[in-house]
Order: sequence, then C-alpha cells, then structure tokens
Amino acid sequence: MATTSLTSSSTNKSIYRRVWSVVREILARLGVTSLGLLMLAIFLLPLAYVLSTSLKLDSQLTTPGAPLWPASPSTYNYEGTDYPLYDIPTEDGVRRLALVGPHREDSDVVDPDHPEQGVFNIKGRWRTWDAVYRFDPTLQNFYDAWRQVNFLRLFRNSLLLSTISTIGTLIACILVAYGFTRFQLPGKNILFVILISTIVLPPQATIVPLYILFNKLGWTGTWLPLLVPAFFANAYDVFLLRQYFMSIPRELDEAAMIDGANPFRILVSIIIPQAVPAITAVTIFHFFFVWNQYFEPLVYLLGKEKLYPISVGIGAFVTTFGNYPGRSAATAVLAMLLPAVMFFLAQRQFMQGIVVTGVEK
Amino acid sequence: MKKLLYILSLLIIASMVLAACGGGAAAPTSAPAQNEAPATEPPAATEPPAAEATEAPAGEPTAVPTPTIPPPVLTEGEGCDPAATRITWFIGLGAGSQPNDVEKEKAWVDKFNASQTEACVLMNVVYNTGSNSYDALRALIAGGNAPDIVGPVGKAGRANFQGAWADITPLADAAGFDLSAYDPNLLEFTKDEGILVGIPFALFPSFIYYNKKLFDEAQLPYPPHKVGEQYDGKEWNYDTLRELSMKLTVDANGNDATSADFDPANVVQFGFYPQWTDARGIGSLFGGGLPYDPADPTKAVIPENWVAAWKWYYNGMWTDHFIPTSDYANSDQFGKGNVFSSGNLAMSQVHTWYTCCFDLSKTSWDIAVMPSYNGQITAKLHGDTFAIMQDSKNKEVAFKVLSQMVVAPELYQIYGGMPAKVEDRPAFFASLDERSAPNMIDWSVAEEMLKYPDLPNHEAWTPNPAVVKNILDTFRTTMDQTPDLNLDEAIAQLKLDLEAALKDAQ
Amino acid sequence: MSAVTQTNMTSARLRSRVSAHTRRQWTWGLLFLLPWIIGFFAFQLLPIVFTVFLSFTDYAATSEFKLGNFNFVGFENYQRLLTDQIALPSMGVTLKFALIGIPLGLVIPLLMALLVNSRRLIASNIFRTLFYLPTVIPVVAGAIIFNGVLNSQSGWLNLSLKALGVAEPPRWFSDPAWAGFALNLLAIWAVGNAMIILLAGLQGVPTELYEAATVDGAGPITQFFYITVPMISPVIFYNVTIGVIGAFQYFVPALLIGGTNGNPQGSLMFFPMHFYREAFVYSHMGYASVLAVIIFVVTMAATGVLFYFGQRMVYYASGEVS
Repeated sequence: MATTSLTSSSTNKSIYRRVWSVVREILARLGVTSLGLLMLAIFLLPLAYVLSTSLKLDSQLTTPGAPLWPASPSTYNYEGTDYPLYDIPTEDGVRRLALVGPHREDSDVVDPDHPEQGVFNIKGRWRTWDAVYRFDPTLQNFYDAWRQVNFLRLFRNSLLLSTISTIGTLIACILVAYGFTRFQLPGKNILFVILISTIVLPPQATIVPLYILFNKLGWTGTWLPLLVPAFFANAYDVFLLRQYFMSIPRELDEAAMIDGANPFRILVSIIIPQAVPAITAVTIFHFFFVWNQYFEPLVYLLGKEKLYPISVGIGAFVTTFGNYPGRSAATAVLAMLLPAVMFFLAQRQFMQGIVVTGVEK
Repeated sequence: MKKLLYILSLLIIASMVLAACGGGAAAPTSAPAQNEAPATEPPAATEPPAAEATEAPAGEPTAVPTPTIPPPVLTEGEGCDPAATRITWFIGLGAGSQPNDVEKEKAWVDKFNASQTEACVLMNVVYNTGSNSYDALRALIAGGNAPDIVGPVGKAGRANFQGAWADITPLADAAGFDLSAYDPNLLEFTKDEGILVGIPFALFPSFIYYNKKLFDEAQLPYPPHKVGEQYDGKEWNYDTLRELSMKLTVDANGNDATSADFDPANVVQFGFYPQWTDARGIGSLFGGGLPYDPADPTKAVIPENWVAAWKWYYNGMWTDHFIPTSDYANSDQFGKGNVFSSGNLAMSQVHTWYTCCFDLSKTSWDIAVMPSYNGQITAKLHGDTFAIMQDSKNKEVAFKVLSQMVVAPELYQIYGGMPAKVEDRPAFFASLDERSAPNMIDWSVAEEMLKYPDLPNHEAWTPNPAVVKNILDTFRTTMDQTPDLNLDEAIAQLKLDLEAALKDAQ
Repeated sequence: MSAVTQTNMTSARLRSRVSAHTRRQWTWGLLFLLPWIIGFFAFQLLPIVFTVFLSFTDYAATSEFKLGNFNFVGFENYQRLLTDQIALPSMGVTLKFALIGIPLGLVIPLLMALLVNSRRLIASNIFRTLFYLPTVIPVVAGAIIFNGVLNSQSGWLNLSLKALGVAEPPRWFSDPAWAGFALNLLAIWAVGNAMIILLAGLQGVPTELYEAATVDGAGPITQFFYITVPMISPVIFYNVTIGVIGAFQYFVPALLIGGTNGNPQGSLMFFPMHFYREAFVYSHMGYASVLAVIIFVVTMAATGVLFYFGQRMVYYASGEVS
C-alpha cells in the first residue's frame, strides 16, 4: 500500500511495520499452537497410556520399577537361562551384574564380563538397585489382536450400519428440521416439545419395550431394528439442525419463493448449501453414535456373530483388560484407527464451510 | 454438500471392498441380509420380508437401501437335523464367555448336534461388561424370546432372575433321569428357595495358590500341603498366615511389613489376598454362616466368625498392610484386580476355576491347604450349574441336552471344575498338569479341601437375594476403600440395612 | 401417501377460515414433518406409554410380558416413593454432577472449538482429529482407561501430579469426595461432539461482521462477546439443552467403575442408576418405572424452564422467536 513516492524515513517505518506484523503473526501462531499443544497433552494422556500399554509385554506392567515407556529388561544369558542386569553400587563403584538369585539382604549375582568367576554373593537389597532397561516396543499384542478378532468383517459391518443409518438420519432430519423452522403450523411449539420428550427417558427404560416390539415384528437377529428407526428422524439431530436453520436469514428463501420456487426446491438450493457445517456436524455426530452403539446391536443381534459391528465384536477383547492388558489395549487402538482416519477426512468439510457461506452471502 | 456425498460414497465403496476381502467364501449369494435373516428365525417366518418398504415416508427415496453384505452364516446349527428342536444356550452370567472358552464350547456344541437328531443347540454368548449380559437376558425374557438353557450360572447370577428358573425335578422324573445318584448335600446346594434348578456337574473347592519364587526370595518354607501339618513349627492358623504374609509384604526399599521402616504407600509385593470374592466369601475364611435367621427370615444375623474374619481382613489391609487395598489391587502393578497373576502376590485364596486366569506354565506356583480358625478349617466351595428357564418352550428337550452337558468332560475342563464323580478326576487333573508343565502341582490339596466346605455356603440362598447381595457388596467395597473405618459401627449399620431388606421381602 | 390425503382433508375442513397461503404453509409443513410423525407413532411413543403403564403394575420381567404375568397395583408404586431412602440422595448426586458438568461441558468444548477454528493454529486438521479421538472410544473402553489412568497407585495422572510436587494426590474413584468429580473429568474428555457442533456454529458466523467490527476498532474480546456469542447462541442453547437431558440420564460410566451400588459409599449412586438397579438388578420393573417417570418429568420441567428463559437470550437471524 504505502510503497509509492514517500520519504525514506516513512519507507523505513513501513518496512519496520511490515516486519513487525509478520513477526507478530508468527508469534501469535506459535502462541496459539503451543496453547493447543498444552491442551492436547492433557487430553491425550489417557490415550498415551493405552498406546504405551499396547506396545508393552504384559509382564512389564506388573514389574515394580519398570519404566512407563515400552521397554524390556536387559538380560544376560548364563548357563542357558536369562537373568536381568542391574546397576549395583559396590565399593568399586557401580557395577553392571546379572541377578541370579535375589534375596532380601544379599543376592547371588554373576558378572557378565567375567562369567568364569561364577555366581557370587553380594550384600545389599536388590529392590533398591536400578534394573537396566532398553526401549523395546513390541508388536506382539497387535499381532494377537489381529489374529483373534476379525477386524475386516467387523469394520465392514460397522461401516455399513453407520453409513446407512447416517444417510437415513440426514434425509429425515433435514426434512423435519426444515418443517419446524420455515412453516407457520398451529401447535408447532407443542409438537416440538413432544419431539424433545422422545429423548428424555433414560435409554435403559426403552430396552424392554423396544425389544418386545422388534421381536414381535420379527426383526431381531437382523439389522432392521438398528437401521429402520434412523429413517424417521430423531430429536437430537432435528433440534441441532433447527437451531442452525433458524440462524439462516430469510431474505434468500423469501426471494426464491416470490420467484415461484416450491419449498422443497428452496430447501435443496438455498438452505442446505448454507447449512453445510451443521450438516457435517450431524453426519459426524450420528455416524460415530452408531459406530459406538453397544447394547442395541448386542441384544438385537444376539447369536448372529456374522452381523456384529465392531463395538460388539471387540467387547470381549477390550474388557479383558485385567487378564490381557496388552491385547486389550492393542484391540482398542486398532479399533480406533479407522474412525480416526474417517474423522480426519470428514472434518476438512469445515474448511469448505467458510468458502461456501462466504460465496453465498 | 457434494463433498459430503463424495465421502459417503467413498465409505460405501470402502465397505464393499472390505466385504470382498472380509466376507470370504460366504459372499456368493448376494441376497440382502434383511430379507434373509427373519426367515431363519422360526417365529418370524410369517412376517413379510419387505416390511420396511411399506413404511417409507413420502418424500423419501422408496426404501431402505439394501446393504451388500453376505447372508448371515449361522455359526451354529450347521450339523443339525432339519427337524431337530432348536435349543438356545445362553452363556454370559458367569464363566464361559471368554473368547478362548467360546471356541471350546462351540466345539462341544457341534459335536453334540452332529451326534443326535432330536435337539439342535444354538449358542447365545454375551461377554459381560458391567451388566449388559443381565440386561440382554432380561430383554429376551420380557420379549418372549427366553433362552432354554442358561449357564454356567451360580447362585448370585440366578438371584437377579428370581422365579425365572424351571424346577428340574419333574423334568428329571419325566426323562427317567436318576437324581438319587447324587450326594444329597450337592443337590441341596443347587436349590433356590427349595426348588432344584440344575444338576450338579462340577465342584470348585478353594485353597491357597502360592508363588514359590517369592518364598524362595524371602528364604521361607512353603505353606503346608496336608491338613494338620505345621508351618515352621507353628500351628497353620490365621495368626501364622498373618505373620508369614507380613514377611512376604515388601516396600520399594526392600523393607518387609514387620519392619519399623516399612512404607505402606510404596508396597511392591503383598503377602495374601482373598481374590475375586465378596463379603460372605471373606467371612467364610473363618467358617460358614448366614446373614439371617432361618427360623425367622426377617431377622438379620451377623455370624460372630464373620465379624472376626472381617476384622482380620480389614486390619490386614489398613494396619498390617499385608493385604492389598482396592487402590493397590486395581493398579497396573497388581494386575488390575487379577492380583496373583501379577507375580507380586505371595498367596491367594481362590477356587479351582482360577486356573483360567493366570499363566499356569510360566508362573512358579503350587497350592496349599487353608489355615484353621479355632481349630476349624473352612475352604469355601463353588458349584456352578446349568439351569433351564421357566419360559423355555421346550423344557423336555432342553433337559435332555442338559443331562448330556453335565457329564461332558470337555465342559468341566473349560470351566476348571472338578468332576462331581471321583473316578473322572484323574483325567481332569492330568489335563491341568499338561497346561501347567513344567510346574508339578500337588492336586491332592484340592481333593482334600473339598472335605472342608463352608456350611452354610457363602452363596446360599437368602430372602430378597439381589438386594441382600448388593448391601453386602457395598460393605465389602467400603472396607477395601476406606482407611480409619469404624468397623463395629459399619457392621451395625450393615445389620440394619440387611434387616430392612429382609423385611421388604415379606 | 395416505397421510398426505389426510392432511388435505384436514385443510378442507378449515378452508373457510384460513387463507390459501396459510393452507399451503400447513400442507408443506406437515409434509416435511411426516417422517418424524410416523416415527413417533411407530417407535418413539411406545417406550413412554410402556413406562407409564408399567408404573401401575408389579411386573418383574422374569417372565414374558403378557397378561397374567403381572397385576395392576394402582398407585402403590407411587406410594413407595415416600419411603424410598435412596431417591433424594441419588438425585443430589445427579444434580451435583449436572451443576459441575453442564458449565464445563460448554466452556471447554467452546475453547477447543475457538482454538481449532483459529487461523493461527498450525495443523488445525490434526488438532481437530486428536481432540475428537476420545469421542470415538466406546464408553466401556473409556471407563476402563480412566480406571487405569486415575488409579491412585499406578495411574498416570497421579504419577504426573506427584512429579509436579503434589505429595498426596486424590484417591479419585476410591474417595467419595473425589469420585463424582473424576467422572466429570471423564465426561469432559469425550466432548468431541460438542466441539464439532460449536465449530459448526462458529463457521456460520458471516466473516463480514468481524471485518466491520475491526474497522470500528473493536478488539478480539469485544468481538467475541458482541458478535461470536450472540451469533452462535442457537448452538450454545442446543448444547446446554442436550447437556441437561444427558445429565439427568447419566450413569453408565459410574456403573462400569463403581458398580450398581455407586461405590465408593454411594457417591456415584446417580438417580438413573437407582432406576436401573430397581429395574434390572432387583426386578422391580413397576417401581423402577415410577423412577423413570420422575426422570421424565424433572427433565421436561428443566427443559421447559430452559426454553422459557433461554429462548429470549438466543438470537435467530431468521427473525424467529419460537
């Protein structure tokens, strides 16, 4: 802007200003990003715990004094058996010795550098010595999990269930939310209260009546109880879309109406393009809701293992955390990978959102 | 929006690709699952398969898109005679739903289905997380879809469905099954409210599992394998166990619990833990008992020996520190509740079924007899069974299956139960020896401990069983979680709560 | 299609009284609401009616639900409420959870949404994904993970606190004073959906508004309170409402961690858990239904209050005040 025909001092000033604004921008980015990293670190602590557990052998978790990161004890093979190495403080400084026979106040050890000296006894408490560990993540748990769980079939079932259910929900909920926002209906508010009331009962109260219903319909043992209701709208998503539709100004649809467009056309060509962020939110929201549904698929698909979604299929593996922590954590990590990738792809829609709304206005 | 559709179609393509590789040989007939599945369910055969199409609302694409998944391949019932009666076997209220167990159960079911033409057993397996297997069973019952056989299930599991179990006696009579061949005590043990709800099939005595490595480290002798044997010159009783356990409890600096320098906040190894039991189970260390007066079932009674055992247990946790508190027991170092399996526990009282849940071949372990209290030895006993549901539509056929289940050696081996018949035991122990080699386990201890059951049993029936159980569970957890608890007051409160629950049952 | 003709008949009866425009509005509006109206009568009404029905019976759900397997008991179940020792304390647990959880469940995802919406955040794609990740973990696994992370001996949280110099960090799920708050932490961990919804709201704010405000010399804080908050108030209102409904249903993680008795010492005995225990553990379906009806009534009342007062504070650009 300020580059043409100015005195040298003001040019300097403007360069200074521009440099400063660049520096400020960089500082702001670094500041915001480090704030983000800090929040992320707190958020990801539980996940780091799971990931670390999945890369450890189960024995590491229960070994007193073992590090939190995946590691294995350094050992020394003496006469056919592996013994752990310890850094042991002695009169001649710290020595690295293999612990053959631990006892309370003294222990039998062997010197890896001089195995010919044989086993000798050394004073001191072995529990206070430092065991020697090396970084050693294992993929054994992932191998076990993959071998025992039919991930491909479970992922396929979950993808199909979630995708079909999400399509149904999107179609139905967009229509219904549109009906609730742009039309003067008598008793609309009462209808909306009734809509909200359908999600107020605790889900456990609906288990028995819905099972009775679906069993009478002959739908148990199939995906129908999980899919069909999605095509008839639910309050969570209708409510969200309604909130969003209501914050879209009416000028454009009123103009279109004067031009003779019917309400369905207005929905498709005016409302939906402006509501892309909300529709994306509902898509993600509902997709992963179905993905994580546990009890419903479990009870409706009982005995039909080939139809199980991933949530039910890994249930027995994830929850045996006490007996097989490594395998359990590895199963959880594997089950998380696909949703993470899908979310990563879907959330780019939010960048898109800015462009679309910008153009439309 | 276009992008969204693009992603959705990507997902569909992805699932089809997965269908191609994951579905394997099952894929050739592309009949939609929705239409196929109801037809395989006998009661639903009359339902029009395309029911969903007629319900599609106006303004929507005509019908539910038909997913391209292969038709459901029944994992059960393939070898069945087409005319055979379908018998559903529900697994999930106790043992048997671990992935490894399910494989073996399936093998037995396949073998059984192929061996006869009358019954076709279908398995319904729910791994219990929290309580969902109980909820699922509840929905099945209410929906008129009750399974025929449920098991293995213990007293506690059955208590949640009080009144839902069929009386076995008339079924046995009708089938000509001789119940008198069983020990009357065992039959009594399998009764709820005086009704026989199952056939005894396997026994699970308890004893002390001990970790030899930790005894060697402390240079202490192993606990006795024979009733009446002394330990290190002392009577093998709970005082001796306490002393021994304290020596086997060590903090991070290598001090044991008898030392003045011992740091209870940094324990790395514990001496003793009655693993995976409840308040009645702990009380039964010092002898059996009932929490009510059988002569007047509205009156709560706390047996004196239970009070003594609870005090011994509570002090062992919070004063002498040789028993892990719930924070320790559920920590990573102590196996998240599976404490003996962590290798940092010297001794644990558990039943024979515990052979399910730790590394039998890599742990250096053996078993020892229970110590005595006032000269009396008590080794609490479990006896899970299979039960038939009152709402089962084919009780007679279900009983025929049941009578085969209780004699199948494959099944009691899965659940780690000692066969009720003495002559079957050597084969059972041999199968365990195979799994635990190179460790040689002294199984005579298990047979010996069978002679000292807790009477009355710690799982015996009580009025209002589910509520009574919850009250006792709360008391137990409070002991495990609360330092400086006034135990006498807590027990007095327990008695009041129990009395209210017992009165409520009337 | 029959439903459409029905609507036409309804409007025919009213033809004399309303204008053609209004009629057109009704017809189209009902047409769009139709999927839900069918779904309501097909699937959503049944559980409510069933629950109210059961509250007048002694059904135990240990046998098939059919006549003969239960008796009508009038208001007996409702009378029992008067002697219920657990109802009030458990409602207290639920209210405490809600009072901490609802504000936190709004502020923290809003911070996250602002952060990942910021142009200044490097690699915001990855941040969004990682913040959302805990939400795709099933509840059962989440409870197990938190049980591990919050264990007072080996949990990574207490190990971190000890490393930061806290001598005696809380015993979380073993201490009645901390257990409820620990569940609030678990709830905050999985706020990905709220973040996404608020993010969608932020994306809907026209950028011209910020440009105009900057020209007028408004700073970022002024812009946040005078532009961002009013513009996203519809989705904030949504989050609060859903938060209230969710808080009155909340108990599954508590069950997975503290069991059906709300250990430690009843501090996790949420009101819905009381309902659940009566229904599914004690087989008192009738009395449990009374408790479910209470949850229904209390939640509807709370939602009603929210709508009554909240709607005035919400700004809808379409000009609607419903």
